[in-house]
Amino acid sequence: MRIALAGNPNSGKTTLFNAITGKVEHVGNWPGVTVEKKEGDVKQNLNPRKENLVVVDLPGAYSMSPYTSEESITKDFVQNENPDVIINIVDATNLSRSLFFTTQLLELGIPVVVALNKSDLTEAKGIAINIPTLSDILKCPVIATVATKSANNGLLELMNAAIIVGKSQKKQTAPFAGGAKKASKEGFEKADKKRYAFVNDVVAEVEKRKISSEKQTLQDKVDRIIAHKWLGIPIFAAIIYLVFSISQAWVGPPLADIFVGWIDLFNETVGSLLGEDVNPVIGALLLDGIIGGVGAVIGFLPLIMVLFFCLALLEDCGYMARVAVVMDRFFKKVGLSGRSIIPMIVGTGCGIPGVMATRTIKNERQRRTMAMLTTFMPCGAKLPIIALFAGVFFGENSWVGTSMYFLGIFVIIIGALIIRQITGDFSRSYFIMELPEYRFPSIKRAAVSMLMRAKAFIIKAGTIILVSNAVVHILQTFDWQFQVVAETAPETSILASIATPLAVLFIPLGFGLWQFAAAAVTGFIAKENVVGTLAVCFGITNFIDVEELALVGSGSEVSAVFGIGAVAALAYLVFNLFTPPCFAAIGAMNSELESRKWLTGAIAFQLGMGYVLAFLVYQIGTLVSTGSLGQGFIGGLIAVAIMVGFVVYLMKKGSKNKQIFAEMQAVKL
Amino acid sequence: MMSLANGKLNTPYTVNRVNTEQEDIREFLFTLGCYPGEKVTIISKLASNYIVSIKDARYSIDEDLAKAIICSNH
Amino acid sequence: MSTVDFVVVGVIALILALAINKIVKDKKKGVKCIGCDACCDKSRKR
Repeated sequence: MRIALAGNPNSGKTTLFNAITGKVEHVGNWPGVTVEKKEGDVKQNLNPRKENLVVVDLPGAYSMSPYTSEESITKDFVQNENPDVIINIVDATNLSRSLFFTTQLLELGIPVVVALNKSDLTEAKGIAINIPTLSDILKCPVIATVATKSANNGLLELMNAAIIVGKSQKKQTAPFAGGAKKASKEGFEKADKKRYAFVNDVVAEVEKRKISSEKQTLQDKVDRIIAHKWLGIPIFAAIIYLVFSISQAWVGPPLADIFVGWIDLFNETVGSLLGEDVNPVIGALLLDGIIGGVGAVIGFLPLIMVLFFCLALLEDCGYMARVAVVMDRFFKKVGLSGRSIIPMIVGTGCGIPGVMATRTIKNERQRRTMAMLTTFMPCGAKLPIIALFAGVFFGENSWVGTSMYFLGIFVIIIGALIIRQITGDFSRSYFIMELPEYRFPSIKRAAVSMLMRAKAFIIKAGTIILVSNAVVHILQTFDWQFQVVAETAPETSILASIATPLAVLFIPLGFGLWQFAAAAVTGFIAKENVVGTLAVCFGITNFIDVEELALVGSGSEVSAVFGIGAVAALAYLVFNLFTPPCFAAIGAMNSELESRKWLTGAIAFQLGMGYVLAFLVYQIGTLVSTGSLGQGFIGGLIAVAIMVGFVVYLMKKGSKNKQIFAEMQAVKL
Repeated sequence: MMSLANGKLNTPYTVNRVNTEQEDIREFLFTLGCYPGEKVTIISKLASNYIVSIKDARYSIDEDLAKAIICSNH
Repeated sequence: MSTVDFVVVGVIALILALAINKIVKDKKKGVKCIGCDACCDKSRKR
């Protein structure tokens, strides 16, 4: 039996799905977290008779007429894929809107069970709902649920009710027949008005509110500070700084120190086990290539876990929707809207769901713009790179991570401005977003989300990263004649000879060394590879205990190992964050952009952006710190000028389109 | 008749029409319960946005949309 | 090569084989990122 979960955004469908199936799909306290359907089997204890029960979680929808593309996934599924039962999740604190969708679902001819979710919140709000009467009027079972609770949550009753209606031969009759197949638009509108009138009558009969919902609440007061015109941005910055401080300076590093100690111990144990008898080439492949390379990446696990824990708490409390309100007026100026912040927030965890979250954006140009730019946010895989350079060159300062986060937002804004000019599409769109209620973030949910991310990170390190490191190690051990490269001539290795031509391009950026070029390239497979490849190439296995490396301190010691200074390191960091993401994320961009032209443009734009930003950071940084320009300035300037010139040319060309667009708009009116 | 953008806080207004050529936003507002005859209340004005109460939910809408919602005071 | 060398080569080969096996298995399942299927459409077609 296939059971579909459908309901309004942020009514708790995915929370309920996770509670029923025991899965850990991403939840967040804002509308539009789920953009794809997810399937899972019902847990044993909710399915005592061991029936074949499959639950499908769907993106939230306000009605059967979809506004954004993730809503149409829901409509298409319930209409075309014939689920056996629909569980309609209704937010108990918002009957008056939710039942509109309910009445539409009841017309489909598929058995419906209503889950009156968030039932624990009604009392505090002075809402009393007469459930038996509601069930009588809707002619379907109505079960009170609290999906966030682990016991007494109504889920067993819900599943039982779903099984009963699913098996019943008797069809449910729709309480309101709107006639979904009215030909004319006016007829449709009239029918929908009647539908709402019906819903209003139902609500009047079953719901009693002691406190009217349009009265000011404490939450509204909090909003007035958090989303304040001038305070909003500093508060946002402070929160992000706090998150990075906790994960990258206060809590993360001490944990990482302990963790890396274990990795080192493991490495030493294996080393002593091998002893002196082993062939040095084979021994090095295991110790430096595989264990060392993976260890260097895995060492950042504690930092990543703490960061994800903090981000999960933020997503859970309802703050992120307010950030959208705060950022709306800045995004408006470049043709985006506050909605655009949602993909960026999701993209801070991983670029792929970030790109997919652009589905919640209505306007096509805005949606594509964000699908192109979202991956500029520092995702989890870029975090080790940030942490590495922050730790090695900047004494574990939390401003590095924070500034990369805000630089990401800034670059996205600039990018959007350029894309708007190039497309010539200056259309404006309205911004509307439901504001979820604040709630105390759940430590448990954050911990579960953190552990899931940690698991994924470890598996990735043990598979893709491990294989990449082994290949890199082999390529740098041998030359083209398959002779072992002499220690005094590492530049004769296969890896060096492949990467050197590329490295020449990086001279104006300050890191024209083949090791850095190779690391940037392996980064496209997975961004963690940047750290892994550097570890393998420089023969470093421990990036956390920087004191041990005697790297903290000024330029000379640092360059002894890496061969670059702090300014070049910052340029390299910027380069890796703002070049195209990993292949998987590029694949996600491809499917959301739905256009070869846009995808090619996106990749070219990202390559150019990474190059230009790194060039600026290195050359300006060198000028400021030493008083003279860095290496390869002229060559780099020419390259940058060509790139900027081309973009300016496209923007000029685009402004002609602007008139065409304006005329098209005029015709539409 | 006035636009919601000129409305006062904490005053329930009745929606008369949604003045826009973008049909889909009108339909979308309808599904949220913002259509002629229904009530809408401004909770606060923040940054460039209006926080409004429609049915039993809070929404953030921008000034453009607030201007498009034509309403009247009882 | 000594016996130790053979053992170490065997261990390396085993580790790589396990890693590649997992990668191939996940790719066949249609998982886009190895180790994480959070974003993949998990509805079974039937």
